[in-house]
Amino acid sequence: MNPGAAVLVTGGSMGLGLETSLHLAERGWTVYATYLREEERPAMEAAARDRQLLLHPVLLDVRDQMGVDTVVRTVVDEAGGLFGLINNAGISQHGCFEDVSDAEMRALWEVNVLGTMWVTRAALPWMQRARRGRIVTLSSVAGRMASFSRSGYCSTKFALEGWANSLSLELAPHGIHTTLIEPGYILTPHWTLHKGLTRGAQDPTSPYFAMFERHEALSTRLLRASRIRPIHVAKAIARALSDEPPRARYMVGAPARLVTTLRRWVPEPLFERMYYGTLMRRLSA
Amino acid sequence: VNHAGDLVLVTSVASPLGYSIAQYLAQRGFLVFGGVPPGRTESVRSPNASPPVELIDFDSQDSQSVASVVETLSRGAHGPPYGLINTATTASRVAFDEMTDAELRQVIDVNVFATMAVTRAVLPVMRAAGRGRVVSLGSAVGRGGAPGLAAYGLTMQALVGWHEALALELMPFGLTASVVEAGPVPAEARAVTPAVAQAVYRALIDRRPRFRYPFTEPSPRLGLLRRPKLASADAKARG
Repeated sequence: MNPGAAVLVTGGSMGLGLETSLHLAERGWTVYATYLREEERPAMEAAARDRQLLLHPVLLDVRDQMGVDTVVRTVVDEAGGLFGLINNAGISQHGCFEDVSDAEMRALWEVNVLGTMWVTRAALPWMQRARRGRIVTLSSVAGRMASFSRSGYCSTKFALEGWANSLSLELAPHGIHTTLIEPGYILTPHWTLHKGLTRGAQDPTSPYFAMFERHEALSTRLLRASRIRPIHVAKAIARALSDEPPRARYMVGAPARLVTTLRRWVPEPLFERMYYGTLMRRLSA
Repeated sequence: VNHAGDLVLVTSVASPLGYSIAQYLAQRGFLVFGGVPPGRTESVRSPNASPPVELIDFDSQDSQSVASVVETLSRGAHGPPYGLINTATTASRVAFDEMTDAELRQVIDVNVFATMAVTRAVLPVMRAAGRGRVVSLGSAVGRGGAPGLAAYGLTMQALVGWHEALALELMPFGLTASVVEAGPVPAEARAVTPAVAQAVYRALIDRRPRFRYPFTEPSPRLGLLRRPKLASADAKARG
């Protein structure tokens, strides 16, 4: 444990990011939590006050490379170093591939993938210099198993997985650990915030429309039934920062663990027919 | 099902791997069109190939080139394309923290966005025809990881996730999508290629093609894949 050491949490103003920031502050870390819009700041500060914690809110859009460099430098100057980076900032996208325009796909990637790259690249030199550090990236069970009408979102989460698999090998010799956090279905503001943003998916004349609507209803039901809470994710992140050594992946939630374990051990063609076959039958009913 | 004469578009045959896939499919009766970067047709042409792979100017990053090729192929006598084989990818082998932003964007543009754009152009035609298969060339490195291949592995794994979701989305229309994972290509291209071409062929003809055709070479090669020498990557990054 490094109580007092600085941790930067991107997208720390709501949902998983806020819960994580508060939990880490509670455990003694010095937490810099970034927020995207000025109007999010009061709520963040109020949440910290309620729990009698100190947060350092920082305004940052992860898409803005210059801003990213400045923020990381400021944190390092102020705190005297940066031990942990929590790549949490991300958005979702609901819509079948053909209904998602090239511009919408790129916009998604700018945040989920490139934003993560910029922040990590800005933080790495400081960690290299200190010869220690932890990069914790929020993937998802959607980074291990894809789902209907999430082709864009899954492409970004799988991308982060593919990136981290190699990055961890590059950084291990420098004393820097890379960890992926893979939560299952979990209800956060993320969900309602990004519903209905993809224009083509809302078009009733789209050939995908009927199944898309059924899938939205089904996943809303699954989300409401889910027993995973943001605090479970926050705890996994705290472990990724304090375990010696941390694991390469922390999966959050029993259903997610069950399905990925099945996928690993059941022959793939059989798994595809069982798991995805069931899903598709439910959608075509 | 007899696929003789079914039209297949291989998006790039400029690489030995892409060309060998195209030729393998042509030998098995498909009518194969192979994309070549504009102006490079002559350097790729192999006069003794039989049956021939039809070479066409194709730039997957240029939306006009994509649209015109898709339209030409769809209107042709051989009907709409039955298979789209996405082989137009670029490799990059640089340590992540030594890579420039431009390089990073370039790898993603070519491997992900251009592949998506071509697929987006072809899908409506396939849906209208009620048949068609999308097969993309991926790499086992996305799952296994290797130093120097973070950006490349990122794009390869992105293709896997995207394809898996796409396969589900296309299922109701009778279309399929698969990823074929190639192993380490550079030095051992000759040894690996037939297995890859064979997997692509199976993705085109299997009654229920799999979402993913994993790389299955015996373990010595997998060992190479996991821990390749970093020296070359460093040299390239600094040079």
